Amino acid sequence: MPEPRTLTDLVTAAAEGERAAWNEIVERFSSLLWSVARAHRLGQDDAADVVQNTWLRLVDHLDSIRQPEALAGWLATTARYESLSMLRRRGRDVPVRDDDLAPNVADPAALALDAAMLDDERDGRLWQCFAQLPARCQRLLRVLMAVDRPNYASVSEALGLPVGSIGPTRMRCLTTLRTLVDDCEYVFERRGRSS
Amino acid sequence: MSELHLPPDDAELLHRLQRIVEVVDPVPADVVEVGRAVFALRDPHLTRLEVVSLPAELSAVRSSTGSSRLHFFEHGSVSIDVEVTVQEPFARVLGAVVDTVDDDLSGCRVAVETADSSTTVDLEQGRFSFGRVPLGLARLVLERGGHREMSTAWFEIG
Repeated sequence: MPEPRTLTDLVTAAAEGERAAWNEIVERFSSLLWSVARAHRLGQDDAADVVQNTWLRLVDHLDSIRQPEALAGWLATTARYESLSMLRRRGRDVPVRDDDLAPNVADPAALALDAAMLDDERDGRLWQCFAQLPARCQRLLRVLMAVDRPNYASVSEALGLPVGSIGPTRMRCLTTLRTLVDDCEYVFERRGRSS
Repeated sequence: MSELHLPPDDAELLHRLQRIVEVVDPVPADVVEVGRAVFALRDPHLTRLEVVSLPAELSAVRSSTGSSRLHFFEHGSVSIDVEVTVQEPFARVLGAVVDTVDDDLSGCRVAVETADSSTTVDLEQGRFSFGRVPLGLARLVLERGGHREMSTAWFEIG
């Protein structure tokens, strides 16, 4: 199999008009953009618009991207900006800090549908607990899940969080999640579970 | 760039959540397809009219008919001023084109393009108007002598 091309090669080739390079960029980063949009609690249609708008912005900037290796951060920042614009257009307030940190009241019907899709009952319970996390935690964890090799800069840009707060926030969020899981009398097998 | 080094327990928990998300909230295939299709909207032959930044308090205009937003674009001697007024679920877009060097704009046309629509009107004494533009991102393309010549960056309608 040929070596995967570097981002620098892909961005340069796409800027020169190579469609295959563009497609590869889209395929590589769609899940990150989708996660950022969904982490802002946008519905499927609005999240789809956010992803499309982010690609429109990139196609405009292909020639001017100076550091292709920072593309993940650029895309995540743009998706965040587009998500906030969409929330504003929809007349929804961007969560204020207090609400942002409060436990979330999850929609039981939506969770039941999600759980029905999961073969493992324990995954359903874990997902239920995840849905109860404060919005800020859900956003951080969703973005952390979506990037292959998370780095501080891109996660910070995706969420508008100071770089220094990502580590401690992640730790707090995962601790809260484990507490919720324990409260559900569900023992998460931390080690030795093969997938 | 510095990578996050996750403790193994955290990495495993995140990996497990990621597998759940891939089942309950995967990226829809049509969203990826739309992303691929955006490439067709790239037009490297068009000269780009750059955004002229304004302080937020100057770009928002309030009047008895609602609130409007102003956008300014320019390149060389050409500038386009745009006023966007939201009238849910569409917006009204009014604008003016000025060329300080070649001021004969007769025969010029302006198109408002979204990701999946395009409407073109004639310039009338340098002015143009679009009545029902969908909310979201759009760009304006200036046609001169039958050729697409310049375009604005994508900007927000709404």
